Amino acid sequence: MAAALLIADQRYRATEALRSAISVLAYPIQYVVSLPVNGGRMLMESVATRKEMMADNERLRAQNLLLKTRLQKFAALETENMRLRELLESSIEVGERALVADLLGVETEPSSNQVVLNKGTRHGVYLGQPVVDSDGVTGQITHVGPFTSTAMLITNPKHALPVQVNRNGIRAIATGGDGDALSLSFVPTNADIRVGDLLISSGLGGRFPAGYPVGEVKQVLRTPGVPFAKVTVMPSARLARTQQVLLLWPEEKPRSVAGLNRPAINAE
Amino acid sequence: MTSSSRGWVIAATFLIALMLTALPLPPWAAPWRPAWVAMVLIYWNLALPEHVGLVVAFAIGLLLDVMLSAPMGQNALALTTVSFVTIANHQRFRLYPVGQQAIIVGLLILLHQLLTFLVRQLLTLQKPDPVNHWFPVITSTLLWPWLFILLRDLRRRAQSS
Repeated sequence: MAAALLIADQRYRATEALRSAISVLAYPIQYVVSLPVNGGRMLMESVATRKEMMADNERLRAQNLLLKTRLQKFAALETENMRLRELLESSIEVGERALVADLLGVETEPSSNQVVLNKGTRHGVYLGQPVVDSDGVTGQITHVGPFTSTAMLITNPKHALPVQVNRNGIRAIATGGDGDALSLSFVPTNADIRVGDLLISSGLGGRFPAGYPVGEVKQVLRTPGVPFAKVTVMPSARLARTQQVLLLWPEEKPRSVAGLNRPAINAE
Repeated sequence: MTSSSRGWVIAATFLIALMLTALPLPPWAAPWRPAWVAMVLIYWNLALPEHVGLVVAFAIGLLLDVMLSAPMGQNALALTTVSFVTIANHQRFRLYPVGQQAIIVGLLILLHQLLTFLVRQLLTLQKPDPVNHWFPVITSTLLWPWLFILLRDLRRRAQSS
């Protein structure tokens, strides 16, 4: 019976409903376990010294100023871009609905590149939903329960992500399974990809929205006689250290309440 | 023994075992995590085989699969098999001294790890670590005497009350 379940799960993805139902039972256990982990973090925050807090504040203030200045430029560029695209009679969507989710501090299968999030179908999370953090693409949702969901990181060997080189628009597929790094599949040896190139999501798969940073090219290996170059990419997202991620709804425009992506520059 | 207090003790021990399994450990310690759920299951299989049997093993296994986001049925298969072997021999295993029991438990955990290893090797792209995967066998064997005494006292207390 268990063997039948295993096959059903692997071949037909037929057990999703069962998984979702049992995850309700698992949630209280995971919640209780994650309490001391998250609580410890809160404690660390509350006993941080005044000096540290002030230094932190200073740093964040500087960063905020920097980001705001850049955002002003981006707003101008965005309108200009829109106008130009209107002239070309093609449109582009900017900004999606987003929701912040916390990572539950619980264990999953050893070295399986998965994380458990504290948002589920009750919050509108769906299968295959893109997950990003402040630095780049993190992964996508693979199981959803009512209160929790599991996300597969982009470093998982099962994961493939359509990307393009930001510099020249060359498209490729970034796959996981290379430890902490990603690798590009089927890049011709003569393709113009250099170390240090930024890769962004191309949006071609229809699952991830276009334009989010994915990683930076760390190594390009061209072996004579082999038709494809071996390209190693370091993910931009802080996959191992992140505590909070953003769930995206690429189909929906940002709501004014959860409008995390829409800059409110005019407000000040 | 009232059946309700016994039920509570069994449920509580499984709950704690599940929590210990989900508790995040530092990377160097994580591979050494004992197979808590399998050990608690073996204990109840030995003590009360007529109450904690294959159905419980299967249900707990499914819960574990969901909790760890494992392939559905991986832990259910492993725990059910371990439970079957234990119950089939429970009268013999019960009579062994604790030290010898620990070795038997080590072998049962080895079976458990072998099954999960095979499932992950055959069905998932994420290959299990060929060395780290067997560490729980050692820690579980070493921890069994203590766990056994702890659970026995818990059960007796529940029995007498």
